[in-house]
Amino acid sequence: MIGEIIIFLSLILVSSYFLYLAFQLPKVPWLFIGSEVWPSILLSGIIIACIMALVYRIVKKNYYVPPRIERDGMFRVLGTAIFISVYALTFEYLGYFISTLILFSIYLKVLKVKMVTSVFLALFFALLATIMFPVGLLIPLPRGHGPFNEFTSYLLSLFGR
Amino acid sequence: MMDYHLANIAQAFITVLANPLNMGMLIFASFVGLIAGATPGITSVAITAILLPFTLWLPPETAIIALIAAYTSAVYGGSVSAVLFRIPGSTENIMTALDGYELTKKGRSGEALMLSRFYSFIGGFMGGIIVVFFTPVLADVAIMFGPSEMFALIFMAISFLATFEGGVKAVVSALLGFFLATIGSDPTTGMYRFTFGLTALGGGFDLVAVLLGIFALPEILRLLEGRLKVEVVREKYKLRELMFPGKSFFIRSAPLVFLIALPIGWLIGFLPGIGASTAAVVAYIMARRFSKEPQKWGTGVPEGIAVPETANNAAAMGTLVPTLALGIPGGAATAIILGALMIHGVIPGAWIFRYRAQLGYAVLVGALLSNLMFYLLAPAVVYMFLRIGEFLRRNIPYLAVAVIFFSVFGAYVIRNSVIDIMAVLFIGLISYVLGRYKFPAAPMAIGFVLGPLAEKYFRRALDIAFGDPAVFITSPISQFIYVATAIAIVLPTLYSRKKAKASKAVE
Repeated sequence: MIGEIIIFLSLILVSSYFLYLAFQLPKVPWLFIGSEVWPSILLSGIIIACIMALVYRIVKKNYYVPPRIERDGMFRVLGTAIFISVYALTFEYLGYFISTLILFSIYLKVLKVKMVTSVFLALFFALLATIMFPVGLLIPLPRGHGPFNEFTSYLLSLFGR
Repeated sequence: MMDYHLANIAQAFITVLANPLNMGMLIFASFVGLIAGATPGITSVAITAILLPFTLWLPPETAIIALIAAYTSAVYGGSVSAVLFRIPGSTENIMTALDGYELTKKGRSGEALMLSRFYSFIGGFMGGIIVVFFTPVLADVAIMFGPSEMFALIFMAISFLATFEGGVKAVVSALLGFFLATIGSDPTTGMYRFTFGLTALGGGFDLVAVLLGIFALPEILRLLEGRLKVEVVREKYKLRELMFPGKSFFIRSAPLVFLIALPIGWLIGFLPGIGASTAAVVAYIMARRFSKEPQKWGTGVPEGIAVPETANNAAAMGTLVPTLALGIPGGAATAIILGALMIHGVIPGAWIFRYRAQLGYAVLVGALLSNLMFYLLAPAVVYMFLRIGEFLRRNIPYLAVAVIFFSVFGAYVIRNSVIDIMAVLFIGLISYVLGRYKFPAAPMAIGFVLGPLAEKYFRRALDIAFGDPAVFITSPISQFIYVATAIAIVLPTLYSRKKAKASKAVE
């Protein structure tokens, strides 16, 4: 019950804040429709829809309660979010190859995959990225800084890149 | 005039079919497009752009045929990843992901992929026939649509979204999608909106990152909530079952496919700047409202694949009409094709069919044949991806890393920016939380796709009319669209109420 109310209240609050920001956008006098008009219409729509839904649920006492998640499941969901954040943050510094190799190994180990399989899979994905993007499609990927750069550059030179 | 037209079409067939280079490039580009479309994170637009530099050394008609073949094959290929992993390969496949993935969860992925292949071919081939024979006439119709008419058309799609499963939650979800599309620099004034001083957000959220965030990541998080080892029955396929749908299904779905999906695909495809994604959305929602069991749509009904795939492929062909006949691209991929024409020194426009007839007609025929090509090449690619999908679904950790891999790299390679990876995570977490409370995901994605178009035409129409809002309802085309929208929304509702009353009376 409380979850759905929190969702609608959060949407109202966040939309109100953005609506305030929209009204702060500088006006362009020679334009009939400024930058703020379209987002304001959308945000007002979100606020009105959420207020209507909230009132309806409170009056009718008609709430949706999602199924409960087990502790392990919750841990895996949060772990995945943290893993992607760390992966994104290290992607350019360590380079795509080393960050994929290290972080995918750790992540798969956390998901209870055997160590050898984890490392093998991480290596497979790092090589797949190499073959698909810099080698196959000629799309550059970050090589990292300092020694990481040297390592990735050496690796790519083996593929002729 | 008609004799001239038919003679050129016949000549174009000979030019394309008898030239080994044209045929070779048609096969090669179709195969590359199929693989790219089926690979999560590589869109039809991306593969068309990637292939562009490789086609510069080719003769103009071969180059354009190759690009169109890659584009049409990738539009179909996108349905493979949409069905197997709930990752729409392109925006055109958003609606296919809804029922396609549900069928996969029921162990019917082979059937789902057969349907998407067959109806992609039907849509593309019939769309191609219309394009080949009627391009000069259709171009005249397309230019009758101004900004207010375009906005009316998008308004129709938005209104249909409001009738989507989820009621007010679908509306909120769609509006959130529209709002996400406003983040970044305003295309009219260049002013930054809601970027919080982050220059990397100046270009707004990238479409690929948003789609991956809305569909792929929340699905993986949902799977990780449960058990990590899942029993997946190995599907057995008979070749005939993978080739054609059953006769009874074909007949049952024919009114929805031929009377709703195809005309909508054609009409929307012909309009400059709208694109095939809108066609899939409008056709899906219209067909659902006119189907006998609308409540089952979204839970894995075969019609939920047949309709959007027919519409998006028909529209993908239709986008060639404004591109070739008016020089106005129908979507992002056709903008690249238009660019390729100009690189080869061809100025697109109505005269292309008069003064460069061989090229113009060869391109149209090549587009028609590209549909046949992906239909013939698809089984091998589909079989490979089916087996990979089955293996991954048995082991959730493997599936998780595979989806995260394609999400991260798919988002990063578009603009070489880490902000896009963070966008996948940010939007993915929001979609995951909203999804837990039954906010449907598809309206958000559709809102994001249609948002920039809606704002562009809304502002342009008002600017032309000096700010007078009456501009939206004064044109007869707009009036027709609004009335049609109202009828399409009201009629099925009245019909279902009448049916409910009748069944109550029987009880």
